[in-house]
Amino acid sequence: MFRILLIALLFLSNDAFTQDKDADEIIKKMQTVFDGIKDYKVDMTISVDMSFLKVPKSKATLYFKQPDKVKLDSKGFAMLPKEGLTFSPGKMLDFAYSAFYIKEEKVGESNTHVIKIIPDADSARVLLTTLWVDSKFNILRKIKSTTKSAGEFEIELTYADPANIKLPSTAELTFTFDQNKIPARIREEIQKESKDQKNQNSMNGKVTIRYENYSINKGLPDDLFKEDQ
Amino acid sequence: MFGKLISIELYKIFRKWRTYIGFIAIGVLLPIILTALYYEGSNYINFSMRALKGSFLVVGNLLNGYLVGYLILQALIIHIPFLIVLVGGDLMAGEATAGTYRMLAIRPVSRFKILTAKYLSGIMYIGILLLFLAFMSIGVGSIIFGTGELLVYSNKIYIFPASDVIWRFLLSYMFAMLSMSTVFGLSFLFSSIVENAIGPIVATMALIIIFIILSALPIESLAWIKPYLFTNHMNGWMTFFADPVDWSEITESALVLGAHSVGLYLVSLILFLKKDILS
Repeated sequence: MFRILLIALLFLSNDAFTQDKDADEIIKKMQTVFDGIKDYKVDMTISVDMSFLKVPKSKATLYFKQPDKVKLDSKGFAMLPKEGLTFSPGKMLDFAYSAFYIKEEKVGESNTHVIKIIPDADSARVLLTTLWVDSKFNILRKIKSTTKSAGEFEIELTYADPANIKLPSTAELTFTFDQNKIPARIREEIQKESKDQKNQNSMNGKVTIRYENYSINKGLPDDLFKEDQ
Repeated sequence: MFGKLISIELYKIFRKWRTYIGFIAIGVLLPIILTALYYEGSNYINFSMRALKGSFLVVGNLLNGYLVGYLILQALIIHIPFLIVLVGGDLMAGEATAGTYRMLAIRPVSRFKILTAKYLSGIMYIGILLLFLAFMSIGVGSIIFGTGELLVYSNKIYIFPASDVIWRFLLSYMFAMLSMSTVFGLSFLFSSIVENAIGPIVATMALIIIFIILSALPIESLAWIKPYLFTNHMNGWMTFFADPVDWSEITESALVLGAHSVGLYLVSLILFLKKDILS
């Protein structure tokens, strides 16, 4: 009888057990994988789709060096979302938090661990973050986050060769944009065009980035980052 | 023969100092604007992009010759009419003031040719003035600031690739030419009626100011009149700096302005053909 009760208890509390056991461990593994990348350089093709903004498809080069050095370089105009810019878990989770393992879920063809991140302090810029971490390669497949200043955003990453290159080949970022940040004249025009957004405080945007020609761990000099850190 | 007439009229136009007021105004004003933009232009860029800079990392030279050209065209095009009427108002009335009307009319050249030559010379003057404006703004601006993507801040924030900008400027200036021709046509008409250049200049300016005020007033009872005011169509050049370009709106505005230009020329011609020249 006692054995039956114990097994039932184990089944019922399965989620609680996995929370304590796995979430921090999975994030740690993901961080370890990313820490293996000391620096990288990558060419990007960026497409921005926002209702109040018409931007041509742009090309830029992103330089990254651990722990948080970033440089964006382009011959012409380019814009890149600040959120999830470098895929660094340490940068994305740069606040005290509690991590909870939720479940396993498929993202595309990959099995992922779904982890919810809740900040410990009210002062954190993030309210809630959900991570989908590839269970085989310990890389980030998807992130969904609600922030205080930038609203909601979701990044879905695909990898061309995850076994060898732990950095994505495409990133699709969808986000909400606070309409109050847009100048009134443009806001009125957009609302005229889109009646369904008339009573909303935010509008949606999408940025698609294609990454090519990764150059990883080639020893980027610190001088490179002097201007645009 | 007709070419000779036009060259004579152009010679007469460019012999008068008032012809150069427009060039001097642009030549003095633009270096001031270019200097101000050189030192303060980044503030304009930051202001325009402030909505994005919170969420995006932005790189690139948006303060360039194309932006300078666009800002100057936007700022000056509503004032260029005042420079054009100085010449347009004087073309016919100036002959009366100088007492050369009769002498001109007794030459073995038809009144039709005389008036048409004067009209076309005036149109050429507008073309030269606008070319000067384009050179001083886009040309000099590109030398100082370089070229690059064009930031346009209108009903949306547009960033046009550098390769997508030149044709927009070209068509905008052609449209501006049509707008200015309408203004010129009005001053030319007034000039063909009276015998003193001051009257046509002041009358055209007054009419343009009245039309612009009527176009700008947000009063519903006056809304019906707006499509009939040519001043309401003069900003049609801005439509070229949108994506997609609203060709139907541009065509409508171009037709209204074109009809005004032709109409004003024809009325001027009829009045001059029937004019009893006594001076």
